Amino acid sequence: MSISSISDSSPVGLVLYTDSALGNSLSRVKTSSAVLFYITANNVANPTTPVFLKLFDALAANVVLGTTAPFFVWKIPGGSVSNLVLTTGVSAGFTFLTALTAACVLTGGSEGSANPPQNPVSVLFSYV
Amino acid sequence: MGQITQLQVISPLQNSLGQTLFFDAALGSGGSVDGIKSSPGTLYSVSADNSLNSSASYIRLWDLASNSVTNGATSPDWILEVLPNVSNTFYFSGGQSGTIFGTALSASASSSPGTTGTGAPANSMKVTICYS
Repeated sequence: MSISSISDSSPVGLVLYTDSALGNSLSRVKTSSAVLFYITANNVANPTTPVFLKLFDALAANVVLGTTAPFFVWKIPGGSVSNLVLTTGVSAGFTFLTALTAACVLTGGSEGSANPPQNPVSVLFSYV
Repeated sequence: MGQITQLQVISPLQNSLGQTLFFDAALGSGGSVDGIKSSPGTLYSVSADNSLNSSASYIRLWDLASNSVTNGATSPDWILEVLPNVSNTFYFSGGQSGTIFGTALSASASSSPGTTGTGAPANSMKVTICYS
């Protein structure tokens, strides 16, 4: 995987974190509390296979992929670029109290740790 | 204003997408699974009012008909955490608006994240799902 993290110079201090090949290795998106605004996931490289993005409000050290229950699961259809925008009340964003950790596998729910996407799935997280 | 019943379906909305609003005033009550649509479609948004609960709740969505889902055992295709004492809204979009479900759409809610656990949120959580 290739990780890039761009800190926006806006007053909000937005960070754009991209993992170009998110798979069954946990990605440490943020290791402290985060407010997540949106996610963009590119599954074009797997034209017929859906993938499942999983998010944990926990440090990677406390996550066992396939065992630890994810707080979010997001099915991304094969051959698509999908976006998820999160809001709370009338405000943008969703608070992860502890940390933001992510992975991407071929199984929904809590299950699946052995099977990463066959081809790279690039995922962008926008947070502060 | 009339009393809001537990389940309401408003369809179609007067827009070019022909969207439908599905409302459940207590999603997941008793571990139940709602059958929202029994054929393929597009999911646009999920809005949940968890203001009556001091703990997080978790919406589970399946790309399956409700009679093919065993809540607590069938892996959800989508899980959405809803924070305590607030409302959260989640907007989905793909190349066009929304994200597709290929088979059907069913939903429930639990006080537990992940696949397992059928305990409903302690107090009712109002959920509105926009789809076509």
